[in-house]
Amino acid sequence: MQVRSGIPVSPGVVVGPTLVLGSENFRIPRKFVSRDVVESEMVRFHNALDKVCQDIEDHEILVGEQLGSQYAAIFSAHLQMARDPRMVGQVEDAIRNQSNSPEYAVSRTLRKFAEQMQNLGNQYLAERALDIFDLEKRLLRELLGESREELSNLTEPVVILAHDLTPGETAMLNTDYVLGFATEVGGHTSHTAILAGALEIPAVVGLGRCLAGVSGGETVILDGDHGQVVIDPDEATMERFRTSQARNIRVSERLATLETLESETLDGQRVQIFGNIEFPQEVEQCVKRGADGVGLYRTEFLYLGGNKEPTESDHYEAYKQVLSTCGDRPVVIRTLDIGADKVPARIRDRFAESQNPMLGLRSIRLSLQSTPLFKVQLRAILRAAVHGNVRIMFPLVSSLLEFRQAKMILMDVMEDLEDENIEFARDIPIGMMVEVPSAVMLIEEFAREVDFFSIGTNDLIQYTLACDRSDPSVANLYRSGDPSILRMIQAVLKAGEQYGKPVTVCGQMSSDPRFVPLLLGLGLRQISATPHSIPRLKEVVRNISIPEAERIATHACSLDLARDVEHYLLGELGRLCPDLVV
Amino acid sequence: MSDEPVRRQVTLANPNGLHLSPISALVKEAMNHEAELLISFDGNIANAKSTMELMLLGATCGAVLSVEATGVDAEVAAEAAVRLLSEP
Repeated sequence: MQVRSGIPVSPGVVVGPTLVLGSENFRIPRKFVSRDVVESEMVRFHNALDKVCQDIEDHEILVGEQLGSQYAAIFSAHLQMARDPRMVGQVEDAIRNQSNSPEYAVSRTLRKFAEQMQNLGNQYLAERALDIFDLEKRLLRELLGESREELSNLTEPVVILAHDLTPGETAMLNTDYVLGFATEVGGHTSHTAILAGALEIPAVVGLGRCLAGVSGGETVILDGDHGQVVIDPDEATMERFRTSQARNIRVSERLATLETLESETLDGQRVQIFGNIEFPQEVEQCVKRGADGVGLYRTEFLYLGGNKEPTESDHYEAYKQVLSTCGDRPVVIRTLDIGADKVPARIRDRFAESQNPMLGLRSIRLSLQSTPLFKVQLRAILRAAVHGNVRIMFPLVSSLLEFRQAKMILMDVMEDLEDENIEFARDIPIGMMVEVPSAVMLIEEFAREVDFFSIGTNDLIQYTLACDRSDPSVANLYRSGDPSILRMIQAVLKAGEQYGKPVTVCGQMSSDPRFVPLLLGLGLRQISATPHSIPRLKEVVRNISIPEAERIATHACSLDLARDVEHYLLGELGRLCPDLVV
Repeated sequence: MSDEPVRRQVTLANPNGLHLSPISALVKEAMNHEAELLISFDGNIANAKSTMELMLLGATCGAVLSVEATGVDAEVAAEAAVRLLSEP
């Protein structure tokens, strides 16, 4: 049994066989073979081994002729590795005595050697582990031949363990078969993490190196609530999993009944809950769960994947789909927020090699520097707006000038549409994301110019605490409950109230039920969260009164450590809604 | 007489430690002998015919290695191993 901890990015707990994705995405189709084919499987292994050795010998001769014998020597070492009696013996033993498939036996044996080598604490030998991985790949390629399976060809449920998944790969995951995934790298706010939430499958990222010893096919428990991955769980662990799974199902079934009920506090205060969406089809999840609209429609998916820049009509069709499904409920469309971790390959050359991409050309800055790109999107939004209740939101605004410039470009686009006699909606509320500390410092000035605010906690926390959560060495500094963050939210809510401008909190903080009493107590009346968390948030709203929330907020704001704040809020949640404490 | 293992000690002279190329030479040598040849270091034992086991010894320059050979040509095998391991 191997237990690894990472960052939970999408809730839920699943169990299933692992599918390990290295850079080559080999998939071990099965772990065991039946006893009666052991001999033929053994022959298959030796044939593959012979073929691989032959290839290495051919290389050795070729390289010797072309480059000289000193280079060829490396291949003779590789050949010795492939013929290593100890390795071959272990593989044979796994096939013969444990009925392992040759693929599984090869992968497991070689990965064990590689893992041991990486753990010796000797840099040179750690790098030799790569030679072993290479040998593993060669053998698997022989064994699997043409039957090497791709992610898109899954036929059975699996839990994916990968070094990394690109946003494109994540978006393509077939959720009929992919139960969940975990990656060695990545942080809480990476695009891959956000996509996992959108796909509504449990996910954990930032596990650190752990795949060396895993060959695929092992049973794994993936706990997206706590960020834990248990490979080869023992019976006691499995039993705990079954118990908590049964409870989770019970709770979800009960929460599902809240979908049609009002989101109202015990003392009758209405609290609007919106959904954050990424893909147009997710809007159905929002409506089904009784959302009051879409509080954050991320439009980046249009730019990711695909080989061409989205056209105005690509934008328009996507927006129209969302708006028609939402009816008269508001939809907040956030303009292009790419850059940093979300740069599509196609336009990567616009991003000069930056030492510090999070502080570089991204989001509204990119839009303001690439006006034609920005205008295409704005035209589409304005045109689509006739089909529903649209609000436009600019991301990452860090100065008043940026907001004014963005608004000016929007006015330009309106004039163009007017001149061209194209139908569009005029009186669209224009708001901004509050996710840079400078915007909080100038919140009153902004409040005079915007129609609404939405606090993007992910970036706000990262910029305020100067901490990159995808960097495991400082990830523990990223805390939603940090008193500095609480004060920032408080300041924005106060300015919103004073100037009569609505404030929403989006970002992962608002999807976490623990923070709901605090946010309500600080005066928040609009929450925007991932669709699947809506019933949980509603459960909190329906079990608290405003005076009680205010009491909780006052106490939370008197604490001076993030740890104490989060601990206190968890305790309060347990008291209000014991079912939600997982 | 061939039942009695031949034991030797040798200080690893290769400045890069027991890395791929001395291992390769040692494995090649061991394959030419019938004797079972074991190299041990720091409580770990490696069969001199196994590249992986030799690598896993993690022996660095200056390490004192024990060589143990059993079999008909044990004497020759052990001497050859000592010679290779003491080459800088």
